[in-house]
Order: sequence, then C-alpha cells, then structure tokens
Amino acid sequence: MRSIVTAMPLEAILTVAAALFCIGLFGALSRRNIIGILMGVELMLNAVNINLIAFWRYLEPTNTSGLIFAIIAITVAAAEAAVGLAMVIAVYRTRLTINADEVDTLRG
Amino acid sequence: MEFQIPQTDFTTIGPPLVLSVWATALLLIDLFIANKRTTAILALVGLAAGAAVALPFYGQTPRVSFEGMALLDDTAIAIDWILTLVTAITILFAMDYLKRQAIEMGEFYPVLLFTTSAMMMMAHGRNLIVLFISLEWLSIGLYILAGFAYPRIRSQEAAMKYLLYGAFAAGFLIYGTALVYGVTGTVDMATIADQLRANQAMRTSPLLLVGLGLLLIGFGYKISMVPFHMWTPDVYEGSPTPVSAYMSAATKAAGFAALLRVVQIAFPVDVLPTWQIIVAILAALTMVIGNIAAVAQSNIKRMLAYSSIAHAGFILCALVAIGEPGAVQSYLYYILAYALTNLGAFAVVIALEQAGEERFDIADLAGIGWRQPLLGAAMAVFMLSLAGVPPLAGFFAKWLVFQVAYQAGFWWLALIGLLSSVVSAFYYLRIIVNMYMRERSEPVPSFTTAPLLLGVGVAALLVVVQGFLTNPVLTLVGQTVAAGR
Amino acid sequence: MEETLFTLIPAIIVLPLLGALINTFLIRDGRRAGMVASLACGAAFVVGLAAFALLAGLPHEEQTHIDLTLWQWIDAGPLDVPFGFLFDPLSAVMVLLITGVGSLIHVFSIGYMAHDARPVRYFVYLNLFVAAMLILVLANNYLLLFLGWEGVGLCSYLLIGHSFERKEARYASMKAFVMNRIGDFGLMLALLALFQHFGSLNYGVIFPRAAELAGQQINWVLGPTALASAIAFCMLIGVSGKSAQIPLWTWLPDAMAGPTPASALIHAATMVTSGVYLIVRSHSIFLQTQAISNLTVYVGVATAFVAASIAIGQYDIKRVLAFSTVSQLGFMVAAAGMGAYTAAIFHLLTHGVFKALLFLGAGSVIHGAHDVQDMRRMGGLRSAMPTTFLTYMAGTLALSGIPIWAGFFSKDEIIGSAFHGTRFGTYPVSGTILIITAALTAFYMARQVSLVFLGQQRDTSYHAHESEPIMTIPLWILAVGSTIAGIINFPGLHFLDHFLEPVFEVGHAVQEPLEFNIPLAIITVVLALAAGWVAYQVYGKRQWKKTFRDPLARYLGVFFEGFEQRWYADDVYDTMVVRPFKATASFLSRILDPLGIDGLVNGAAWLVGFGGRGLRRAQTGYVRSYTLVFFLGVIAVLGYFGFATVR
Repeated sequence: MRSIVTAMPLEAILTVAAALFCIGLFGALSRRNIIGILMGVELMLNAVNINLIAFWRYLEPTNTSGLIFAIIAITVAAAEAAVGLAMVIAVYRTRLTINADEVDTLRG
Repeated sequence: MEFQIPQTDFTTIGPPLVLSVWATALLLIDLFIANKRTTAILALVGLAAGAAVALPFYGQTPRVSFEGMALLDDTAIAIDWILTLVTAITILFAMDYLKRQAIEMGEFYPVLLFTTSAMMMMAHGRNLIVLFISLEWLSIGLYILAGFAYPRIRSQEAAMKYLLYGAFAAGFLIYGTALVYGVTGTVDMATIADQLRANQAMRTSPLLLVGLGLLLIGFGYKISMVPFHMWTPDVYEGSPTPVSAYMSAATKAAGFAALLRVVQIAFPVDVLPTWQIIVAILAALTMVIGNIAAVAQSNIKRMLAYSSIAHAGFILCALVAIGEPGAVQSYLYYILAYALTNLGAFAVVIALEQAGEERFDIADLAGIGWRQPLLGAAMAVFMLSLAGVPPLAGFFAKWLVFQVAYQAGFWWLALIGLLSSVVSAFYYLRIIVNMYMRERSEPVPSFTTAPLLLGVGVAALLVVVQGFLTNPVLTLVGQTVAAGR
Repeated sequence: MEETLFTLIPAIIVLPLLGALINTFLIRDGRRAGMVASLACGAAFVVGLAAFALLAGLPHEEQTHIDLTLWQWIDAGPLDVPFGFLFDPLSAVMVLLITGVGSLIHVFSIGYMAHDARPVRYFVYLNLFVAAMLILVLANNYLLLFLGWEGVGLCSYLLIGHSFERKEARYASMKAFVMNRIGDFGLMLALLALFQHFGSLNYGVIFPRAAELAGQQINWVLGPTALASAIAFCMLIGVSGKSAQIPLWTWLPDAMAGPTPASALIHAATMVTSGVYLIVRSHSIFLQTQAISNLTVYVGVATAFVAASIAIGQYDIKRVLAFSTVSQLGFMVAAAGMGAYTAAIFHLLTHGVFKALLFLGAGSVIHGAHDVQDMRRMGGLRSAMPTTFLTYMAGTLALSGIPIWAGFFSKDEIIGSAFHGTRFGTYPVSGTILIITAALTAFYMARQVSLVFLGQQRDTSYHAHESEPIMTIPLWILAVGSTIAGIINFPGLHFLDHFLEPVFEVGHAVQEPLEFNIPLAIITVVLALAAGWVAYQVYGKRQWKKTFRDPLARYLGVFFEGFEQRWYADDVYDTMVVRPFKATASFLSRILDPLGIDGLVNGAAWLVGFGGRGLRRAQTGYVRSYTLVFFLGVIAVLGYFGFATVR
C-alpha cells in the first residue's frame, strides 16, 4: 500500500504550509477589516497545523506530541477567535466601523 | 494494552493550580456577593494560599512531573512569588479604582487570578506546548482586562490592538515551535538540549535556527523587545490603569520567565551560542529606543510604557550573559526590582484618575508631592529607583546586569546600557521636578484610599529594603539556579 | 581599642542620618531643626575626633587595618560586596574635615536660613549630604564609595534646587545632576573593568594586586589599551564630573543658585573634593599608568589656569569664589596626578577650611546686604560689617598664598612637587603655569576685597548690617583655622606626611617629605603680592559708578571679554561641540518652561529629544503598521540567523 509518506516528500508539504502561512501573513498585513485580519491570522495558524501534522506523520509517528499540539493549536485559535469576534462586535457598536485604521485614537 | 494512570505529582504546578481552582470557585461565589470588596479580599486569600503551597518546596531538589512537562524549582518558585506580590498589589490598586470608574464587576478578580496562574505556568513549563498554551491563556485574559473599562472608547481600542497584535505574534511563535519540533522531533525542552548536544549537524540546521528565532520573537513581543514593542504604549495608555500596572509588571515577569526557560533549558549557551549576539543587539536597541522615546512623552502612562520597554532592554542584558555565574540571580533580581517599582509608579496615576476623565499629563502632577506627602515620597522613591540611583533596588539591579554582561564579554552592551541610563535620568527627574518644584493654580484632585496607600507603601518599602539587603533577596531569588535541567 | 573603633565608626555616619530623620518626622520649626542638625553633625565630629585619636595611638602598621564589615551586601555568584568601612589615616582626616567644617556651616545656616521658606527641609538635606559624604570616604569598597558618590550628587541636586521658585535654581540643579551622572557613568565603567579583573571591588583585594594591571591589555572602544590606563581614564571622567574639571566643570558655577552655606559645604569644602579623594584613594592604580597620570596633571593645570582667569572677569561675589574653587580643585587634581598625594590632601584640607570661610563670609555679606550679589553694587562694606571684613581678609590671605596663612604652605608644596619632581619626573611647564595661576588668584581676590569692602558704597538703596553672632562665630573659628592650618604639614615637621604614610605604603607610593624650596617660595610670594598690589591700585583706589565696566576690559580687550564670558565654554557646549549637552540644555529648558514662551526654548525646543519625536511619529496608532514593523523585525532576526548558518 502506498502511503502518503512514500508518495510525497516532506519538503512538498512544508512548502505548501509555508505558502499558506505567507498568504495568511499577507492577509493579516493588508486587510483593513478587523475580521479580515483575524482570518489572515487563522490561516497562519492553520499553516502551522499542517506543519505539525506533517512532522508527526513523517518523522515520529509513534510520538504523538505533534498531533496533540495541532489539536491544542486549533482549540487555542478558536478561543482567540471567540474573544476577537466579541471585540469586533463591541467596536462596531461604539464606532460603527470595523476598519482597523479608523481605530487610532491612541498614538504617539 | 493495559492502560496506566501515570504517576503525577501535582505539587509541581501547585501555585498555578491552586489559583485556577480558586478563580473558578470565585467566579461562582461572586454571584452571591453584593459587596465586590469581599470578592477582592477573597482573591487575596487565594493568592496567599497559592504562594504558601510552594513554600515547603523552596530550597529543595527540583521536581519534574506530568511526563516532564512541568517543573518546580527555585526559579519557578521565585517567579511565582514575584507574580503573587504583583497581583496582590494590583488588587489593592483596583479595589477603589473600579468603583470610581463605575466598572466594578466581580469578574475582574477571577480573570486576574486566571491570568496570573497562566503566567506562573510559564515559569513551571518545561515543554514548548506548555509555554505556548500558557502564553495564549494569559493573553486572552489580558485582552479581556485591557477592555474592562468598556465605557471608555480607549480601553476598547487598547483591547482590540492588543488582540490583533497578539494573535499575529502567536502565529509566529507557534510556527517557531513547529519548526523546532520538526528538527529535533520533540517539544520537551530538556530533550531538545540533549538532541543538540548529541547532534552536531542539528545545531547548524537552518530550520532549527529559524525556529529558535521565531521563539525568541514570540516571547520577545510579550516583554516589549524592540522592534516588537509597538503595541506597548498604546495598550498601556488605553487600558484601565491598574491593568496597565499589572501588565507592565506581571506580564513582563512571565515573559522573561519563559525566555529564561527557553535559553536556559532548551538552547543553553554552551550548546548553541548563536542567539547571543542577536539578542544583545536587540537589547541595545530596546534600551536606546525605549529611553529616547520616553523623553518625548507628556502622558505619564505612555512615559511609563516606554520606560518599561527600556527596562526590558536592561533585563535582556542579563539574558545575553545567562551562561555566566550569577546571571540568573541578576536577572531575577532585576525583574523583582523592576516589577515593584513600575507597579508602584502607576499608583500615582491611579490616584489622579477621576471617573470618566483622564488625567495623565505630567503637568497634572504639579504640587502633588506636597498635597499627598506619602504618595509623593513613594513616587520619588520609584522614580529614583528606575533612574538607578543608589541605594535603591533599581541601582543594584542595573549594576548586576551590566556587570554580568561585561563579564560575558559584552562590554559594548554594558556601555550602551550605562549611557542610556544617563538619558533616562532626564524623564524620571522631570516627574520629581513636577511633583515638588511646581504649583498649579487649580490642583488636580487626587484620591488616595487605604488599600491604594497600602499597596504603594509595600512596594516602596520593598524597593528600599531590597537595596539595603541585597544579599538576602539574591539568595531568595536564585539558590539552585542550575537546577532547571 | 579596635573594638571601640568598630563601634565609633558606624556612629559617625549614623549621627547625621539620625538628625535627618528627627528633622523629617518630628521638627516643624526652622531654628530648632537647625539646632538638631548642628548637634548631629557636631556629635559626629566629636566621635570622629575620638576615633582619630584612637587611630593615631595605634602602631604604625596597624593603622590601615581598621576594616569593619557590617553585613554582606551583595553575594551574586562571584560578586561579593560587603557593606563595610575602612578607617585609615586618609579617611580619618577626611572625616574630620567633613564633620568639622560641616558643623560650623550648619551653625552658620541657622542664622542664614532664618527667613527661608523651607528651613527644615534644608537642614534635612544638609544632614543627608554629610552622611553620604561620610559613606564616600569611609567605604572599604568601590561600590559603597559609589553609593556615597551618587548620594552627594543627589543631595547637591536637592540643595541647589532648594529655592525652586527661581527658574535658574531649577535649571542649575538639573544641570548639576546630569553632568554628575555623566561623570558617574565613567566611574561605573571603571568599576566594571576593575571587577572584571580582580573579581572584587574591595580595596583590600584590589590595591595590593594593582601592579597586575600594568601588563594587562584590554580590547576597548579604540582597540587594545593598557588595562590600567583604561580604568584610570574612566575614573578621570568621574573625577572631572564630581570635582568640576575640564570638560565637565560648567555645572559648578551655576550651582551657586543654591543657598550660600550649602555652596560653602558642597561646592567648596566637601563634595567637590571627592574626585581628588578618589584619585588619592586609588593611587595604586594611577601609579601603574604614566600616561593617564600625566593627563590628570594637564587637566588639573588647565582647569586651574582657565578658571582663575575667568574669576577675574566676574561681578557676582559668589561666582568669583565658584571659579576660584574650580581653579583650586585644579591644583589638587594636578598634584594628585603628579603623584604628590600628600600635597593634594594637604591642599584639600586647608582649602576646605579657608574656602568655607570665604563662602560663609560671602554669605554674611549677601545676608547683610539684603541679597545683593553684584559686587558693583557693593563697596565700602568694611565699616558696616567689620567682623565679616576681618575674617574675610584671613580667608583671602590664605587663598592668595601669603606666608603664615594656610594656603601658602599647601600651594607651595604642590608647586614645589612640580619642580622638585616625583616618581613620574618633573613638570616644569605645569609648575610655571601654576605659579602664574597663583598670582592670578591673588589678583582676583584683591579685586574682590577692593570692590566689596573698600571704597564707598556705590549702591545706597540698601542698608548693610553686620550678621548676628550665630553667623560670625563660625567665621571667627574658620578664620583662626585658615591662619594656623599650615601647621598640619609645616615644613620640617611634616605631620601629615608621616600620618598618611601607612596609606601610601600599600601602593608603594610613599614620597620623601618635600624640603622647603626657599627661592621658589620667594618667587611665588613676590608674584602674589605684586598681583594683589596691582589689583588694589586698579580697583581699591578709585571711585566707581554702580554700573561700571571693568577697567581691565580696556587693556585686555577681547581677552577680558573671554574671561567674562567664561571662555565661552557654555556657549561652545551649547552650540556645537557636545551634542548631548545641547539636547540636555534644550530639553531642560523645555521641561522647565512648558509654555515655551522663553525665546531660547522656542528655538531649541524642536531639537528636544530629536529622536524621541521621530519615534513618536513612527507610533502612528494604526495597528497594521505595528504588525508591519513586527514583520520587518522578523525578517531582520531570521536574516541574522541565516547569515550565522551560512558563515
């Protein structure tokens, strides 16, 4: 049986993950919409999850640290998103905008 | 396959565990408490209990449990105690402040305790996953605390900026962790060091070094290392002042604890010295930029924010030299001195803050030294200590970190540190000049209540005592420093 | 006997501290606070005297072993620093000077500060200052010395800014503090280097092993340097800050904004001498480096001459004395650089006495003349203030180096050492400049006495009166001291030489007591007398208007203007040479004048923390730009690691 490990080199997966990370990074840096920024960050985290799973599967399938780390990362991302979205709603209520560039009273 | 319940030594995470449990309970109990001052006092009791749990293990051999994930050694206990002290003083500051600002909700104290226990976990963690979870855990708590003064538009903005910046930084941190895991095949920090020792090629692996760099950045942003510091002034200015005080003292301490663990256990200098130079450069940048930017501030909270950035640079000097004997002690001594001093410095801002109104301009301090003699004297002590005037704690802290940096061969770092601390004398002295050598036609009213004065008094007293009895404190913060492994 | 000493030494420091505490918490009345402070300082003097007597009674070789550790102060890894004191002959004479002159100044202050708004605070600062200074001279290690060193700087800042209602007082206090901090930075660097080499900061460890420094090289800012030179040079920066030497001297004349008795104590008799004390204490290190010792001599000689010439062009009674102090400190630093350590300490002691007298006399004049400080508005005060005049004359004669008065012997010993030679050789050029400077000294002092006391009162808008006994009695005591203090190292007897010998034996720096050089003495005295006579002819004989231009301006032209403008040192500092000073100055003026009305500020305010403003602009408030900077930081850090791997 051909498993993925033999079918595809680790480097390929790492490259995909790095590309995904960069896409997320670009989104986080370029979007003005707060939700957009948060989505970019989610993408970055998911890219790392791919990395973690790949490392686990290719290098140490018996040691589950990577697998568990990925699950934990998903959980943490969810918690962060919950707080983040709550905050978006709060910002929208007071300022009637979710444009990050318009939230700039603190500076200097 | 037989399933075995692993032998677990819960004492290794004693203080954070007690705090978490207590905070959960307090969240429920609070529903039945009308007077929120009671909640605050109960929170203080929980802190005392948490600190007491570690007492029997102080000075003992380090203990490791949870499959090597958690560690209890003297460094961890010292950090626990510093955090306990800082949180207790924060609670004293917050009691009347929250009421005056009409944001007195019981949830404040449990959230504070949760955050503190997350910070403690950063000192107890011996595993990159634990460090990551703790960092996220404390961050989420801090986002909530930063936005706690929700009627204030600035508080909300602070929370939002912190969240976006923090989430962004977390992406890099976890990427770094993943790469280190990918190269070494483990997330256990001690095992990472063993792998590096055994495997010469691993030490120069680009993936590993990139991972290490991202780890340093991921924790570095929490301690406001330049250029990852830009969230600091905005968040400190916007947050409710006791929270700013707490962040400047406790979060820094926790971030430094995590950095210490990373370079002490996972990447010891004798195995991988590559990170030293870049951290030294960043430390120099942090000291210089923090101090110069502080000079131009007219808002006290922002000034203190930049000052906290500058002090992060001073502390990093000891991190660079962490392989030297006495470096860990100097590191922890500075963290304690800095935490107490900066915490106390925020108190005078708290005393000036009225409901809804924001009074943070340095000119608002005019004459406060005479109208509030105790508060003024304490503030003068804090400012002089931050400026590094002997015999206050801040001086010895600086002396110790520069000395270890010099010893480690980073004489240029000590030189830059000394020069930038000359610069810092300006803006600290400016506060004293304003408090004592100016009068204002309409003095800004100030609110000093018993808990606030108690908190300030304890901090000021400790700053003075720490300077005169340097030795006992040094002994306390670092008996068995090499035990982390 | 040693046990007695061990209890006496902490008491010397604790007494003034106690006075400060009592005054802070218990006393509200100014006069009573003055009594308490004076008693505390006087008691410290008595205790110091007893300790001195006990020390003098000890056998010669035991006199350097009174080393007392109170508690272990720092013990971090290899750094162990005790909180401990060393009472050797050098500390002993310093203690006597500080507490003795200090007590008299405390007593004088009771009268002088009677009408002050905040006398209690003043006395608290004064006592704290004395305690800090005592810590400085009694420390048995460099870190404790540094504690006192910074402590006196801080107290000096508080005292200069005592009348903070006046803008120049606030400005001067900041200036003094900041300049001192720059000096402290040098000292701290020296301590780091010392610690690095010896693993200790205790005198007892460092001095016997100081010879090791000679051969060591260290890779410092400008490539490899001899370790001893690097350390001594950093110390010299500290000395230049504290003892007001070129280039960090400009704070001292401005420090005259403080109350006059405080100037007498701090900026004449004690704090400014700590730089000289540091060199003498560290003589074992300075002896290892001919280059820096020579540099020290040149710095001292240049300062002595420049400051003396500036003193000629000043009209403010206190400023003349301030520049005179800078000049005399130059003498001491030069002597210390030459290796004539006893001569330096001898001059330090006599100068402490007669300069305190002169400052207190000036205080008495200012007090009696209702806060007039401009000498052009004085004149003829001899008849109104006979006691002040008489005692002031004693101080003037001592400072001018006229025989039998104290200054003659001590100054002559310094000049003699320059010609006679020390282990570093002879310094004929420096010696000649010092002789000229001594003549200048006589000139400006005669000018001052003529303008203040002789002739007719030019501005009659005030009615001068003699000060009360509580102020004149200290003047009398100091006048007697200034007259007879030469005896402590009288040629042929050499009491001080013999007493200090054990201290210098440690570093093998004992010099044969200098024999009295009669031709040299005659030259110096004749020149001084001639200069004084000329000044008397120019200033004392004629009637001046109250806004007169100094007659020397006509003869000396631009030179005199240069003296008057203090060789433009402040201007040079403020405009181009030392950029940080510019930032400091404009920064200070901005914070001291938040409205920015002042013309100076408007121009300079923009420069204020130039970088600070740039950084403020970078902090745009857009969280996205923050994350962008973060990302750039990531690229930089990873770039470094990439570079490190490739290499």
